[in-house]
Amino acid sequence: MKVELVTPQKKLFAVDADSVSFSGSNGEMTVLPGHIPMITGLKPGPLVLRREGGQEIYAVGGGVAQIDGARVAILAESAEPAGEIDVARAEKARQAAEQALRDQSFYDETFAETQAQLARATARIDIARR
Amino acid sequence: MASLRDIRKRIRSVKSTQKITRAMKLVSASKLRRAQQAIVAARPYAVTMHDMISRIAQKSKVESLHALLDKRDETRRVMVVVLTSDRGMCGAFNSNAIKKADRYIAEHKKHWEAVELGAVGRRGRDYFKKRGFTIRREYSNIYDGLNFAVAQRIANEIRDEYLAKDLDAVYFVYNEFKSAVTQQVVVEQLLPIQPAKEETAGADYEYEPSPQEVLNELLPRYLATQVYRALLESQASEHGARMSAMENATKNASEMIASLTLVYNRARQAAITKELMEIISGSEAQKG
Repeated sequence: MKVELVTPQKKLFAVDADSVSFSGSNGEMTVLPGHIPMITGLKPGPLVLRREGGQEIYAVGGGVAQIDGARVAILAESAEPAGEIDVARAEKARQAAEQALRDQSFYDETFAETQAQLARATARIDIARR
Repeated sequence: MASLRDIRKRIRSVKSTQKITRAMKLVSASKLRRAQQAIVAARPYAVTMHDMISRIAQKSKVESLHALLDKRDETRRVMVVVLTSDRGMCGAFNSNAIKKADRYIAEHKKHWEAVELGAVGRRGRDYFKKRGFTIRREYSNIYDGLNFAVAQRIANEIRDEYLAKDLDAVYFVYNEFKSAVTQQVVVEQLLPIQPAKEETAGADYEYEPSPQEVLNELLPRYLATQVYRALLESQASEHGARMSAMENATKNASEMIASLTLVYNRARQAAITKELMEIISGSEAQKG
């Protein structure tokens, strides 16, 4: 099964893998070869790629994933290998987002965006600490 | 006739100009290379996204599925976004985009109630401001450190205005990168989004949680991708145009130096001849 992880600025990998797990719109999911064709939303969180007996972990931002039996294309707004996450920066982003959330109401235009920022930062911190 | 000293000065000044144009050409060439790499790097994302949207569009009548796809009955308020550079010295790059936008507006104005301008880059902004257009949005100095987040910010602002019905349609006018020496100005409709309903091969997909929800995720990102691509194309075109403009300037400077050197040598010869004549006629006179 071929798995691709692509962001608007680059292709992170396109490799043969045994399985790949990520947070879909309806929750955590694992895709194995032969999965039914599906297009799903992607939530910020960890992406685990298993191949050649090992696993690789990435932090991905929101996006969409296109799955068919032989190929999984994951389009993420951002993506980085777990080892390259700058925890200090992520922590700062998390605090900034939390502060911003306290300062605005649910009805503000930017509320959803700030929430997404918070989710992204939190996910990155979690992944880096694994 | 100009004195020898004047000509020497001209030659020196042309030479130093040539040094500048040559350096600018080299800088543009390396920037162009980077811009081209960025275009190539952005392609896989855009292609896959395009494919997904075509699939959904083919499957169902999408126009009713999402506000960004919904073509309004009347297109009243329009924004034309012109992509130009912040700096000049790039040949016809800016004036081509500006002229195209001008023409497009003139041709379509009668169908619209109001047209406003969006300006990416200072050149376009200055032009349209001077001619009394309303600049609804302007973005300057975005090309240094251009990344997807910049495109996303622009796309989100435009999207919000569209959804608030402050705008009914948005067009982008920009230089599409063909090669280092050729650019082509294109007009693209950014909003409402027109999904290509091309035949897509492969299986029938399930949508999780629903086609509607997937479109919600997909379309705003698609919009940002479109903006990003336009910015990248324009950026590469700018550097390509500047590179060839500077190459021409360098060549012209060489020609000028050659012809000035010729004039200089001729003048020097004339001066020597004149001096010799004076000496000879002087000595002839003494003999007599």
